[in-house]
Amino acid sequence: MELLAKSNFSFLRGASSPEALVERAAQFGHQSIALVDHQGFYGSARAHVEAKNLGLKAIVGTTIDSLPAFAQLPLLTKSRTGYQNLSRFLTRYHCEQNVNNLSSLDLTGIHAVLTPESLARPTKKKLLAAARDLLRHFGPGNVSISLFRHFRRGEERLNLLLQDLADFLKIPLIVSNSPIYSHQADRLLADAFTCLREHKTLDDAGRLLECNGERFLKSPEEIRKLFTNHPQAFQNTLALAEECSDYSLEKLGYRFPSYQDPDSGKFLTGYEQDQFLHQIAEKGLKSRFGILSKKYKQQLNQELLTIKKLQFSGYFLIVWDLVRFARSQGILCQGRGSAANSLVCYAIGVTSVDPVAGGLLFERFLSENRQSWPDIDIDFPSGERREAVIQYVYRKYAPHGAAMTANVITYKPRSAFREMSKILGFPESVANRFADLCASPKVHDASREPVSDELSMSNYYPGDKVMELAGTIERSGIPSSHPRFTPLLKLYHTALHCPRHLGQHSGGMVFCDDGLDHIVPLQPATMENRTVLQWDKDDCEDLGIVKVDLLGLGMLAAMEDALVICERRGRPVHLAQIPKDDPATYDLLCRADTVGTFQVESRAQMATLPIMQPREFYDLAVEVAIIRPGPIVGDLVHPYLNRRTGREKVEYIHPDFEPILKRTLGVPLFQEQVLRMAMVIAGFTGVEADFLRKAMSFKRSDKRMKAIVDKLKTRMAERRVAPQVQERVIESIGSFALYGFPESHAISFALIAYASCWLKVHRAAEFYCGLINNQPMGFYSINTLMQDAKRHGVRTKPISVIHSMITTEVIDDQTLRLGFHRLKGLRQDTSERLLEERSLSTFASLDDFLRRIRPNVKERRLLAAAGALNDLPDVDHRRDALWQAEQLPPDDLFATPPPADQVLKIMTPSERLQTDFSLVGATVGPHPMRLWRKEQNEPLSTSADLFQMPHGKPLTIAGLVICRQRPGTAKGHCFISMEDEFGIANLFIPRKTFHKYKLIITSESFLLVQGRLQITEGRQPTVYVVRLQALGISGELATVSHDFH
Amino acid sequence: MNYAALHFPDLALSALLARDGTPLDQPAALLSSGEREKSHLITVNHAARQFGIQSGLRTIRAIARCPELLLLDSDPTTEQSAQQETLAFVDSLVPDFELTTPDTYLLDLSTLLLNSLDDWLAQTRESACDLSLPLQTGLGPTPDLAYLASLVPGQNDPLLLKLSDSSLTTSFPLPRLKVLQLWGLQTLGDLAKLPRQGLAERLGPTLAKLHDILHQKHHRLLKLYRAPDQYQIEHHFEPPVANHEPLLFMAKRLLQTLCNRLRHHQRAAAELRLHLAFDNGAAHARSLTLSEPTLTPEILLRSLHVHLDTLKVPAPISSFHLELIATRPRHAQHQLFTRGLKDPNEFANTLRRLADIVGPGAIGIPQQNDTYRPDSLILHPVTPDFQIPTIQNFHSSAQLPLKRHRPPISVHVASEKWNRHQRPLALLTGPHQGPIRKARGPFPLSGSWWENGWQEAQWDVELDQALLLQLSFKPPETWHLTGIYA
Repeated sequence: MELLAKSNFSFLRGASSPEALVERAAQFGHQSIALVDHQGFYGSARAHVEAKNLGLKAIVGTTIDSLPAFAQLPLLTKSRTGYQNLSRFLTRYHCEQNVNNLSSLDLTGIHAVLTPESLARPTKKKLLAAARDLLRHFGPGNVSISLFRHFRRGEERLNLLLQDLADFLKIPLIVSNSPIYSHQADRLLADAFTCLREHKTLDDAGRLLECNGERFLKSPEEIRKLFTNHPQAFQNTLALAEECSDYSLEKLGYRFPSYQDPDSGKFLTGYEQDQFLHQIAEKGLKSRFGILSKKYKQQLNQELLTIKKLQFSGYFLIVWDLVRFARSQGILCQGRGSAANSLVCYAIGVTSVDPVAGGLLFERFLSENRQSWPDIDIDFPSGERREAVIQYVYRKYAPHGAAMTANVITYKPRSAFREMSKILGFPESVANRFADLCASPKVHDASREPVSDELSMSNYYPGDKVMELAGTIERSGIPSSHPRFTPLLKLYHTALHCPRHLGQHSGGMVFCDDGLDHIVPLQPATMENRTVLQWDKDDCEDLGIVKVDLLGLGMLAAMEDALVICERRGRPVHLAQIPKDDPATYDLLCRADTVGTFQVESRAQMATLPIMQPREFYDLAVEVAIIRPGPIVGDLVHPYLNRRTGREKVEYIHPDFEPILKRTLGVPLFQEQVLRMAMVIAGFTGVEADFLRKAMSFKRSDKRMKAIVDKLKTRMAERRVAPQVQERVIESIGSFALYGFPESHAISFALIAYASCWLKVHRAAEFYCGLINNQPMGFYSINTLMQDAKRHGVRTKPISVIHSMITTEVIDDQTLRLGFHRLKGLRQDTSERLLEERSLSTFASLDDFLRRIRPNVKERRLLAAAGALNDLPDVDHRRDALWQAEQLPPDDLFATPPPADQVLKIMTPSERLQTDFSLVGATVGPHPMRLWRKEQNEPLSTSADLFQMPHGKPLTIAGLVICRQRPGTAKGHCFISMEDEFGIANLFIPRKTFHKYKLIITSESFLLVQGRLQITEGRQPTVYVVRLQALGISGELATVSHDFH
Repeated sequence: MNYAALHFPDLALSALLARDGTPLDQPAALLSSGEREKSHLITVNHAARQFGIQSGLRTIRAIARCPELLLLDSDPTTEQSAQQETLAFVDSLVPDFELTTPDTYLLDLSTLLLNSLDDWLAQTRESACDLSLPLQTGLGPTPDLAYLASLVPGQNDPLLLKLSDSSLTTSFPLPRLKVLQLWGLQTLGDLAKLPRQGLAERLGPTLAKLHDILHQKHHRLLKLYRAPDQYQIEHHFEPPVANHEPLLFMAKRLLQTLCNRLRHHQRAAAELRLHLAFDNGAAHARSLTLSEPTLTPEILLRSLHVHLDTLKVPAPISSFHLELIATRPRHAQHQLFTRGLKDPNEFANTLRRLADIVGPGAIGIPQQNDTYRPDSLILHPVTPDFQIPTIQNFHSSAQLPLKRHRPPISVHVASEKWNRHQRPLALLTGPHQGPIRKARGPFPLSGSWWENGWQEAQWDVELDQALLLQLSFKPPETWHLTGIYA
């Protein structure tokens, strides 16, 4: 038993993970371990899961340092009431100011431990007062005094004082080593964290650091030996551990809220909820299909029966309520994830996928064998509209009934290096240089195994993710001979992936009808009006806490805007009614003309679309799933495409897999298929398959995956499955561990992807307008989107004070007008005043405009430079506007304006371009490359020429870099998309060439490239780059590219 | 053309290149040293500009454009010494000049009788070659026009100067530079073409003044440079003297002169610098910091005397040089702040004598280091105002005073393994030997693992006759007797 351990979830106060502490405790034969993390239960869930696996008891506790008389006070929970009271206390501490009075709190079931570190300067008198204080608040049976032996001089004197105190007040004495790391070697990181906490370097920290490395987790035997003169204290510790072990997070007592009838305000009973769900599901299906076929009826009844048995009706109703609220506010939303496997979800409007028609399995979503809650994720338009839904949830379950799940921010290479180099006393410029050198996050070790430089689909497959760390550090300015080089490397590696601080999950919400604060401590998020709980989504799932993901999708916001414009322009579109077999939409997909669309716009997607040649909706679902780490790692893209194009024979790993893998040509692409394969080949039960699913989606540790894979192997061996089949099954499963993509999820995403492509084909103006109004989002910059729009016959007109609105508007099918929102620096009230004044009467002159709108000097310059004043009668050009608007007109209305003389020269096209990029982020004028090309004598190839050239032809091409990618799965090769006035050219830069020109590639916006043309599968032209250089474009354009995401 | 301007472009960078003998055609740049900012270039030379590298460019981008770019960190000392050289150079050319910016001088040519201005300029450029620094010159009817002309490389036309030129913006702050650029103005010539009134109405008097300068409607006087006063004096002995008595005799008179000079400028001496040259070519230099600023020649002489008393001269003294470093005199009401020391100067002389005996690094106030490492001390130098350094509160947790052996005595100890430590059983060698009756410990200590790490385990042991000792064990098997508890 160790009752006072702190993990690295004490944030800079502990150096080992909860799992490492528990694992070490198990190795030592401890029966239980209590985690008393700083001001919270942050690591308790992880400790609980690990302890459960290893057969230990994980006791929940915390250390409070905010009480007036105590520097540190460890508190342990003895019962569920104690846990709830402590959780509420922590919530109050974090969410309210000045909660430091113990008398105002219910402390039942909480056990306090007075330790040698409890008081800042302990004296006999102070210790006595503190102990009496604790006895008064916690009660006589709920206070212990702990002795520490860290082999420090003077600690025995304090131990004697504490012993006397315990004898005098009849308080049981316990013993502990109060570990802050699991192994002695972790002391280095503990010291580093101390420095970070105290804002010191290691050289300056002095005696703030530990005097020795004794604060590691010790074995029960070692503890017993340490305190041989206190046998009773040792026994007391065992007894207290036993007492506290009565409660574990197993008995958390979380209950999902019941549905509350909005009219009566009454919470429905289980029976009423079942009935109501049945009623709305049936109604929903009828409204979708009219008359229900037998198949649908059967499926619905079966699902409702399962939901009823599992008592999940309330859950469905609450999600339905959220969706209903969103729709009532005109907010577009759509469920995704495994929920799309459910007809009930489809019926009540949570998802838009018909699972019966799509042949999706309800069991993947919910089955009687499954112990965990179903997972429903809902996409909302990002931004204010999603926030409205989140705030609705907060209001509904106020004050402490709802919170966002946490997101544990861990040390990443750059942050680990920055902080560790800082405490070692290296100047910040070194860390800056390191960060610069890591611009492409995965720096491969060039000395590793040779990798083919040939361009093929295999280049999307993985290499070892090796960061050439030592070399990078040397290039950052620390030679390997530096005495602190090795400590830096060590610290870097130990700090990497350690928790740094707590953030909030992008959309995961947890709610509870009788107060979430007694389930888990809550704390305010950085965003106003939001609270966040102390566990992340995996912790919540482990403890059976239901999370509903309210995710923000930029594309939904863009599509929603596009639909509103369509409606306004008298050609409404209803997403549900978009035909799923539109040839024009599939043509667009086949030619990879997908800039701006959802999910299929990335470079890799665009490379596979012409090979894939999607012709039906399911093809698109496969396409969405295919460019994912899972399938890529598993070497599965290639066989699928080969089989699809007929170059490879369709074969199944095992004949039993045929029904499962038939739709994906024998290639397991979806999580559901992998689960069913495990059930068929290894006889996995539903529960085991569910465990496999969890392990695959659990990104935190490989342990779970290893355990389940071992089980799978054993089962297959028992069933005498051929070893090569076993191997291939294991391979398929392993590849999904990184990112398992469920079929239903792919279908949900494919729906949005298809809708976005359909809009691009049939409502291009509205589609681009929606995209421009919702930037930043997606893969490409606004300029690339505008260039793409131009290629699709939609031109964009510049901002004008006479014509523009606040947002970008559609003028007609071929024309957009940029809105004032694109002008960075124009205040909202100015643009609103402008619209208001303009609605009263048009502006007669520039003076009239300036008099009525009164923009400040910065805004006057901004409007004039962007050409927004050009449409005013007395303005000739931008510079003319700049000269005139620099001065406010005189207040005297009868004053004669001075004669307008042309003092300044008109802007050249190149100057206009630069101004547009810096003020609007895009240009409505000619592409920069067109201007550049005019000045060149030697003709270069263009992106359009590539389609006419033969394979292998040497060429030189130039353009604006719009996207750089060097995925970890690409063996060090780099992919660049380069735009010119004709379109987009794809570049492939082999690893060696990348290393040679790395700085030019990562820092220059315009490139001049030499190489040879490679026509890849699907007739896609790609330039195999041999050499490149920066293009001498004068001036610095404020271009934006999508880099290394 | 009454005025000439000499501009040493990118002086901070050029000085470093000249120091290292780097050729002028080597692209080079100075790196920023600011905190939290991405590193960028603060100054680039002409060769680097040919690669499209400008100051303000991110370092990584600059290297991408020119992999041979030499990146240097600024060195204020080199820059300062280059400034001194340029100052001396200009001083040798004309009597009246202005130090306009650290890298530019404005020269008044009206006092010179020149036959040909061009010849003079050519000659000036030629003699400047010794500085190994690039030089740009400008001539003008007004100081400002000459100055602006010097900023344009190779041309004597201020109207060609680019508005974005960093030399211009450092000397003529252009608060509306961005507006001027938005207006499409590239050079001062473009600015000069604008109507003055329109410009003044829109952008205010600063630019109107610049407009006037360009149209020769503004003339100003030079702020003439005057070298700061120096308090030094030198004396040569003929013939050289064998002991310091004659030196002291002369020094008394010379110090009186220097003190009078100081008094005249309301300054006092904070430091006395002595330089001795010996007949055999050897030399001796010493700086004597005074305990408090003084104008009394006797105090200075006494300090000098004390130092010379302990100095063994290798050969007869041929000359000596005295310099007083000036500071503001200290004023205090009589006896308002009573000093701890009756005569701080005498105390300083005593310390000086001690330092001459034991060595300058071996005298000071011991201060405990902020570390757990036992007996880790530094000597804090005695400051001129005798302030005692703040010693952090760190007291050993041991109750008894420890009489420490410095250095610790190496001993042989019979020991046994106890948990992860070695427990001492008997002292076999050393001043106190015998079986250990009682041992308390271990008290393991370790630290500085990031550089020259150390570790040891201390034990408090009791021998017969109630003798309490402190032992220290350093892995793998070294025992020390570190002290005896009183």
